[in-house]
Amino acid sequence: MIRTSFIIFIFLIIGCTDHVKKLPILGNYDINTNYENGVEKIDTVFHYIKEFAFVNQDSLVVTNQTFDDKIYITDFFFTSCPSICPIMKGQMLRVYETFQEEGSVVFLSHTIDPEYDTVALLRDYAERLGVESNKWHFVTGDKQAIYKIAQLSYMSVVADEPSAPGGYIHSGRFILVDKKRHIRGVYDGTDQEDVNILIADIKILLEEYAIK
Amino acid sequence: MQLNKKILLLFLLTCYSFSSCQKRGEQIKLSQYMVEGTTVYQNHCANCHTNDGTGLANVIPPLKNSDYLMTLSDHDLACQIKTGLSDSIYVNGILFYQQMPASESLTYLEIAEVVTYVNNTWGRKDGLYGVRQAEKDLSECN
Repeated sequence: MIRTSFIIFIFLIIGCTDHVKKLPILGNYDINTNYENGVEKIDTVFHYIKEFAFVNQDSLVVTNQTFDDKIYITDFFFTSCPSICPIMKGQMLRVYETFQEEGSVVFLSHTIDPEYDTVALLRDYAERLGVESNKWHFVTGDKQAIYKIAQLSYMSVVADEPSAPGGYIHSGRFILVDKKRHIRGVYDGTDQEDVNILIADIKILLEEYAIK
Repeated sequence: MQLNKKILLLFLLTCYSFSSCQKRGEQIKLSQYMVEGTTVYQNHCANCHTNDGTGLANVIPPLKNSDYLMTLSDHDLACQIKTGLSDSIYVNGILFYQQMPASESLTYLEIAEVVTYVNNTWGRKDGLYGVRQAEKDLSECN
């Protein structure tokens, strides 16, 4: 009897412990060591998304400020893509529909074929998907700028490859970015299970802001 | 007369067993085509048209419950799979213009299998679309 109550007691303690799951901050980080008045101060600078400016399907300029106080999920695609893009977009649409009512969750899809994917084409694509332009931005811009932000900020592979279907290789990654421009998760946008994890992680991240 | 009757009976029996054998053979062949057709579909079609044939919103047309597909002949379906489709089409009242890429690398047999799979899965028609028919149809694509 005493043993049983002891076990129950232990379980209660474990159950009550506040272990809110927190997502990691991904990417390389720098540790800056400064001396202030002879006291050592260590400051960790996490990897963050650099400045960008692109144009969305409404011809509006989209920058980092567009995502101030928002968490966003981003990917790279092109409308004429015959390989993994339709799967990715189907999966992204599922995430979009899950968080349709959640104002602080937005989406950002970059075309990696800006010569073909004009604003008008992106607009048509978004309308065909049936999504709101202030919730899901489809952006185009300078090709080098898009490639650069993909590789350096979002850690995603995109490249021209004439032998690949559609002429490009790109990872089917979805990247989850928090309100401070930190990457909090990277997912395979072609894998339903992995996208389920993304949906769960978005909820965890929202929770993190809710309890602050 | 008696003998003739016996011969006739034997003849009928033989016919019956032959036809039922043939029927079973067809069934086995159909099953084989369906299994192989599923693989071909998943490798070459499902990326866009999705595994359950629903497509992607108004971007990629569905194969399931598609009025366009229902009126398409086997010949045209086989040819479109091989040579792709660059014309705009209306499916269930929605205009789709996204180009469908050609799949020139598919063999006659693979096309026969995938057409059989599409036909039987999304209610176009039951039964086999054989490799001989596919070869004939594919030699007459526009």
